[in-house]
Amino acid sequence: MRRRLALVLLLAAGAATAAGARVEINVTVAPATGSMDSVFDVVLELNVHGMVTPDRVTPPDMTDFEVLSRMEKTEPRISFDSRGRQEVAVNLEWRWRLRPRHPGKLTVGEARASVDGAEYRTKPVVVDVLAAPGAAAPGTTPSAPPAAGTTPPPELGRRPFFLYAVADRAKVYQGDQITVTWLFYARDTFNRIEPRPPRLDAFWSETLYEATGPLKFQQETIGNQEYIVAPVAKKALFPTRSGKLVIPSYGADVHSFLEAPQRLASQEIAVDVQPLPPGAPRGFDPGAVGRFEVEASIDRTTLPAGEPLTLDVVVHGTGAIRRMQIPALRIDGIEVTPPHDFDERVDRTGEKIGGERKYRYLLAPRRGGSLAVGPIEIPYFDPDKGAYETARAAQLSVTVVGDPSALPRPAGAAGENVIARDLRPPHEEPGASAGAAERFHRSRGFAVALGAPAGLYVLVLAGDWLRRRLRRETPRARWRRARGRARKRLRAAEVHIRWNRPAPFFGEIARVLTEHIEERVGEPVAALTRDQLRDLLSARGFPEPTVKGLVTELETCDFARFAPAASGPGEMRSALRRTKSLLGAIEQGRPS
Amino acid sequence: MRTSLVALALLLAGGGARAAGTFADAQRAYVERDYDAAIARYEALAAAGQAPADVYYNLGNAYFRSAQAGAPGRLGRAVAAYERALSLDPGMDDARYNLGVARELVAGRYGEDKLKGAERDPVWMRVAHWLPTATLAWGFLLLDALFFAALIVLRFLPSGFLRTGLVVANVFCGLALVVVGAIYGLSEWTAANVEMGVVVADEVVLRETPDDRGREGPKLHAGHRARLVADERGWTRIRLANDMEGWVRKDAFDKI
Repeated sequence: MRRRLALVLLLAAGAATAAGARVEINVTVAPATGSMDSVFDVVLELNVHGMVTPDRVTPPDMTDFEVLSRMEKTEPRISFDSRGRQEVAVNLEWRWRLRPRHPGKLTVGEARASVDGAEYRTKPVVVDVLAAPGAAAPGTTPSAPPAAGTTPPPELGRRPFFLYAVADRAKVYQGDQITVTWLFYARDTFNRIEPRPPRLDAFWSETLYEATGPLKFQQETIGNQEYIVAPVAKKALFPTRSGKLVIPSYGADVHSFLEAPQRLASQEIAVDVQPLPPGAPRGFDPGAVGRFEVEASIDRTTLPAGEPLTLDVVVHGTGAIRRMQIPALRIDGIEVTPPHDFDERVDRTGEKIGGERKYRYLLAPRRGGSLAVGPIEIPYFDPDKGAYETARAAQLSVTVVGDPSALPRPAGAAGENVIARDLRPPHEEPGASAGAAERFHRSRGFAVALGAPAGLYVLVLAGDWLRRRLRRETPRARWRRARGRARKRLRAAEVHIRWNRPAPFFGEIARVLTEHIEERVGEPVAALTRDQLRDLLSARGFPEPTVKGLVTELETCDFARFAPAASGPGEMRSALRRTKSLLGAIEQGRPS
Repeated sequence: MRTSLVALALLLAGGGARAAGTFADAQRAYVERDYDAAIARYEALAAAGQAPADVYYNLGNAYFRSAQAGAPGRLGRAVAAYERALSLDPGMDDARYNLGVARELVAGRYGEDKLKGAERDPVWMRVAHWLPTATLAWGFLLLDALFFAALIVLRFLPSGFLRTGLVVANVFCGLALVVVGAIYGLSEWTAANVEMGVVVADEVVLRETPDDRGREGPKLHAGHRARLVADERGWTRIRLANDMEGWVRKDAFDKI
């Protein structure tokens, strides 16, 4: 829609430009030869230069074929020539994907376009369709029929979005290239798409295209539904093992306005990977599958004994060039130091991936005279021929003046064996996870163990403090002890009441009162007369009723001790009550 | 009940045998130089959570050999695998050695990434990783026990030469306890709060915004260590050792 609008605007803008129309019309069909399993792509291009639009376009007759899919593209262009003049052009393109209905010489008929009253035609194109499935077509692998499902099945035409994977082949040799394209189809609006590429564990993968910016859409019809379609990713995959392999599904999240993302997944593709045939030449690298050439050069042809020279080996061709290992060279009479690294250039522009790698070896002649360097040979497997081949570089020769073996070796160099750092070998068995000692510091036990010494120390300090505190003499401690003694004596007094023993009873009462008074006033009072005691207690601020009660009670005790027959249990009980009351009064008395 | 226990035991034994089988398969693939298959199997073991340090160590070897054979994007993954092995088992000498070899190859291929303002990780991070956390924890525990045991003994020890000597020794012990405790705390805090990772792509451009159109910053190469700050829509925000921050594609950076 946007393109059509652009076309209208373009035509409107260029209305003032008077220019004659120049029309180019062309039909191409690929491949030129195929089998009943092949899929043919027909492209009709119509380029109209000038301010006109085609009146009518008649597509070519394709009745010999079944139309699998159709795409249409319109591209308006404004350009300026060297003199600054504006030029307007419209490029129209139609694409059909066809499958032959029968073998033989099939014709894609002429296409016609009527522009500005003139008629333009193309020539019919004839293609050879062989009956046998998998029949050879030039430039294709004999054992590689095109993969099934190169166009989405019509039932997918019911979905607003879907991903569809297309592989160029379904049967390959191990190490040979399969090109897989993942296409995103949409017939509904969306904001953006977030690809989720799969892990391709059984394949060596090279990315040919990955959508990083806005997708480049074209139109395509599936069933009766118009879709816009754009490639999300295109990868060259090289199987690293043989057997029935599966190219995993490619995922993507489609984000639409005000809707939850919709997760899509393409279909998986099964690939039949044939093992490489037996009889691989010596030194064959399983990564060297394709078609390769090798070139070699040395930096000089004559050199004095004891000096090294460099050998540059360049391997180029088609195949997983980055998968190839550094070639091991053995040259008679020359010590070869293999390159530590390499330069490489990967070419992803063609249908088959390729490129070149440049290795630089250091050569140290061990003999004098003329030495042959090479021929440098790289064995490889050619999947098109289904056979092993060897790429050879022209033989080189170098003349060493003098005899390197006769040269004096530097001190300490004799027998020196320089060993570069390399990996330590893998572990044979999986060890246990980190041991208990490693994990202990994450456990609760560690916190307990850490706090235990501090806790123990705190306990020791607390014990010490308690011990000191218990030993310390304070008024409160004295009173506590005095109260304990008093309680003891009062219990003894109660026993005396029970056994009706007035003399011991009053003895206890007198002692408990005297001890309590002494504790209160802080000096002995047992030897004082009653008057002296009265004066002392009054002087120390005891209330008069308390003083009077104490003195009276002590006198009662003296009397009862010396005349016990006069006191019965009733008298003793009331004396005990009075004493308890007096003890309370003594404790509450204000000390001086 | 007994039947259930027997079934559980058999299940566990079977799981162990399967894991060992997968490990053996991965080893076989490695020996046969089918590094892609070896990587896939080691990764499967790691994904299943059966990933002691040895699995990551061997995975690092497989990635490294694959990178040596010319596979792109493998050297960084080798470094990441060795780093992970070391995080699980800091005492694994083999992993430390091979990590050094892998970093040498990175430096040989792409040159060394040098950061202006910080040649290495910040000092606090180097202090935190000075010793393995477990070693620091045990050291802290030992010093703690010694310090308080000496304090307790000092409560009962009469004054004299022995007491004076013990007081002096315990002052040093206390200082060591504070220092080791601080480093241990820092190490634990770092482990809990600082997520480190390495660049796994051969080369990645640090961008100002999480977008392919974001302004380009410096290029980082495989194995470059950085701190993971945030993840957002397929991009990861990282902080380099010199505190510079930027965004890289999520698949180009792997958490250790």
